[in-house]
Amino acid sequence: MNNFKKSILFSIASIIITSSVFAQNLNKIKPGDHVVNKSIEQFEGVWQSENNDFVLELNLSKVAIPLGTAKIDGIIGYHKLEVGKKVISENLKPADQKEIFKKATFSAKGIQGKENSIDGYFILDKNATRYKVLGNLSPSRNELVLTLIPSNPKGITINKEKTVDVYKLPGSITFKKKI
Amino acid sequence: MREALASKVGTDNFESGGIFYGENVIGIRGGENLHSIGFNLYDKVNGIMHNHVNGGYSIFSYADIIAISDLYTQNLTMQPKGFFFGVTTNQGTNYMLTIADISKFDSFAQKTMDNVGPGLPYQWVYENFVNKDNSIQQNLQGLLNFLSIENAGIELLEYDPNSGKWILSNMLIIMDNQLSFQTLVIKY
Repeated sequence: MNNFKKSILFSIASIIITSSVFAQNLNKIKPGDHVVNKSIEQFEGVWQSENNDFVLELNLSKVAIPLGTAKIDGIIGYHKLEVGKKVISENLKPADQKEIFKKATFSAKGIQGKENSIDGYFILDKNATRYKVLGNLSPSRNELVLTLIPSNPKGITINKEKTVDVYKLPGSITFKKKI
Repeated sequence: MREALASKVGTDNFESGGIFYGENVIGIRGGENLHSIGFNLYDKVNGIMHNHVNGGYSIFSYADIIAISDLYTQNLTMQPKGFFFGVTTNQGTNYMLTIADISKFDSFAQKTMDNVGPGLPYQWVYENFVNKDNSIQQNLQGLLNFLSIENAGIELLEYDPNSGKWILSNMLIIMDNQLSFQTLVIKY
């Protein structure tokens, strides 16, 4: 291989490596970039937790979240909560794509170096307690354990209604893959 | 006002602030250990100042970014061009956001409010740029990068205690781009 070809290959390899590094560090994201995360696809689908107290269903999807002209792969989701066979909280995925972020009650990102984990936020209702969540998949990928810690927004809030919880969720919920 | 708020950040366990209605300033305060202030507004305001006490962010939180967008989209800013939104923090930092480009900010604020779902899908995106574990400098650069990539039309000012003036922080973006460019040139 002559020096010119070696130089070209080296340049292409450098570009790929550089893009990969940037993809891991959102603080270096530039207009037009797409921060791809394939590993979070394993969280997509409908997850159900059924126990004596409640049935909670999460419908999770991978989406490209726009940030200016850039995009970042993340997970958003919607839920249905039944207590005593009665639906007490439900937020279905909207048909209108423009509303998928506005209506989402679950959002999360992948964690660098932990491809079976995600972290983010979950809330049952717009005026309910918001939870910071950590999701861990079982080795078989058929079970998802969600750890929930109450975490309401920090900062200035204007004309916000008082927090009212429709149901108090436990600190840990185990889901089975439904679909 | 800034001095009064700064004097409380090391001792209070609740946030304080002031809403500027023309010449009048109305005091506001948050709940204990909540690191937030919630209030109702019915009239247009010139600006808002608040503080972050021990355990809070060294710069604006995402809820603060939502707040300035919310004020604008609800038509609660007296004059968008002169509106200010400031914070003084327990880390000794003092920052102010102002609307520099109304057209860009209009798009940014609208997009922000359109996407503020109950599950806050942009919260963790913002936390990749600004969070409590970052150093003061990382959060400053992170916020500048966030505002830049969002093309938000917002200027960030930083209080300079030596001159007693608020100075523009946006210059750091140019420095960072130059640094990145130089790094790429060396790699290739």
